[in-house]
Amino acid sequence: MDALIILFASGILTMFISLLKKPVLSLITASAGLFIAGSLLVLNFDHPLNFIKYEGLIFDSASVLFSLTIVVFTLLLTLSGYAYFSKEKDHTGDYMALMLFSATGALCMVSFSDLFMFFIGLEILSIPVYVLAGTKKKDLRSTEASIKYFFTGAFATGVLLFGIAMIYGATGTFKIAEIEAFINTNDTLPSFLHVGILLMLASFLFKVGAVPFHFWSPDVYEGSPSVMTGYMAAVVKFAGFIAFFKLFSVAFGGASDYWAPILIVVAIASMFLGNLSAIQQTQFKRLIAYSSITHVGYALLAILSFNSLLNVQSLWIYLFSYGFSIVVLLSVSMLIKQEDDSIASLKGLARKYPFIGFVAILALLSMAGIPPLFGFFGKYMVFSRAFGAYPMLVIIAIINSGIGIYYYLRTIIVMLSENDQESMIKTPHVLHYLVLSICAIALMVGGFVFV
Amino acid sequence: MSLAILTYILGGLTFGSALMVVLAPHPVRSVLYLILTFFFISGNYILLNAQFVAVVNIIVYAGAIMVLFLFVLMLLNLSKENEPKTKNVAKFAAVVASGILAVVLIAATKDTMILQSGYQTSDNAQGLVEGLGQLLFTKYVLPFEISSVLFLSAMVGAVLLAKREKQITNEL
Repeated sequence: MDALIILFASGILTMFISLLKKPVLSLITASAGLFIAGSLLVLNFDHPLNFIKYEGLIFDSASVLFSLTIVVFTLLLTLSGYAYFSKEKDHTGDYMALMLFSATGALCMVSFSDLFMFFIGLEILSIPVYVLAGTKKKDLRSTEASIKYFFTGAFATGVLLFGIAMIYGATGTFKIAEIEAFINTNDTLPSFLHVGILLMLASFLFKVGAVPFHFWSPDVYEGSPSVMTGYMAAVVKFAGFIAFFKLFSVAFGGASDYWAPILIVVAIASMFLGNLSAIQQTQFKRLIAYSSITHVGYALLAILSFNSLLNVQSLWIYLFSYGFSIVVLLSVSMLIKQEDDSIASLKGLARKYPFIGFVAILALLSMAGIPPLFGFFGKYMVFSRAFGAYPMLVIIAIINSGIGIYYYLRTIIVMLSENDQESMIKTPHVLHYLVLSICAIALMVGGFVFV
Repeated sequence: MSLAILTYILGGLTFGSALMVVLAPHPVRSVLYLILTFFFISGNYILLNAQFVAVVNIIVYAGAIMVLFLFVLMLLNLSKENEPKTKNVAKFAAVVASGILAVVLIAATKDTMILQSGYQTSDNAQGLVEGLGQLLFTKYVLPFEISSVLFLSAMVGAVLLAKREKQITNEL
């Protein structure tokens, strides 16, 4: 809770400091706020037994862990996005403040205990992202991304609200613990509950970008500024999946006969469609968008096979490792000079800047799931846990991991190859090196520390 | 008995005006029917003893949002000629999808079980501002306060997007 307040307060402070038109001061305020919030969460982490409960929010050890993850990713992205944000001196602080507000919403979304708070959290998370997706005002694609994301997102929110209303009508409560009890104690469930669950499922699948609802994600990922693409793929997806888990695996767990078959189909379709489309992409951010659709498919395995908050750890490790890879790749994408970020413009990256190339290759290998890296552990834990209940699905997921390695390796080869033309890579900012070093350490040793 | 008749009449009027929103040929007329629908819905709220929601519904939807709609529509100068053509396949898909949703909703309503029999009309203070304010500032004070973050970020975002940049104005 204190972390939530600190985040919001530092957001407001950053906004006022941006009046001074000194981007450095905004950066210091924003990252100090994030750092203090993170440290408070670490301090809370030592006392997991005294859960702090508020109306609608519960800060148990799991929520504190998720909140800490969100704060870490937001901090990393704020630091690496500074070079982009500070291009517009008037608005640097505003952009950072919006990111902090959005992170506040993400914190609500991972620690909610009733649907009311969940909905407010989701909106606080989404609205600043709609705005920030369109901050490159001169770039038509950025405006397109913002509008597209806003309209489709608003529609999905409407569907979600409709679903929440149905669930309230069927169970008579907003509290997820009471909904869980209602589902587990009643033998015949009202059909309104099923309709509500289906509508919420559709909206969740939209928010995380799973297959029948994935059409927005490549365009939005491509058009948004790289920082925001990173934020969408790391933080928004993380918060979305945790809320998905809390609602479906835990609260609606008793009714899983109704939604599990749908999710199985969606997971398989996401894996194949994401992978097969990613192979054909020539643009870096579109590649990441399609590969993230595939990763959604893998993460849905976790939603399917887990049923209590106790084993959410595997899902967390998976999303945590994925987030670090995303932060690295989007930081690299910020360095591309050209407006259209073709993969070919990464040519010679590893030769010109060996360290950045090294970290980028680490990130790609971790996404592919090559053993000693963090990503492997996440994938391993999700797959091994799901294997008991859904062996066929896990086999399909492993086949898809194999397909994925092809385009990850192809990107690595481009980075390693010699560049005979003028380099498309900008000189990196010193903060890029800082962020990339942190991510490199996390990717290399994360698997041994957290598992 | 008279209440039941009133409910049916009001329900029929709401339904009819909602249908007219979709069927009206001119967009401005359809918005006007939508405003009418909101008024009828407010009437339904009053019958359900939710006076506050009824008033807020009129102020926010009929008052603010719909007037905005009208302004935008009049600025856009819509007519039959420049209406975008929809593909037949898309029309067909839309009909099938919404038809399926309607069937599911009707089926779900058919075997609804009623948790509470009838709404309480004896306690007149229940739907008033007073009761709502009590709840909002005691039990739900945290969600209430947190929603201020939402409004603040929405306002900042709107200003940020709508503000004209200095460089652009110079170029013009």
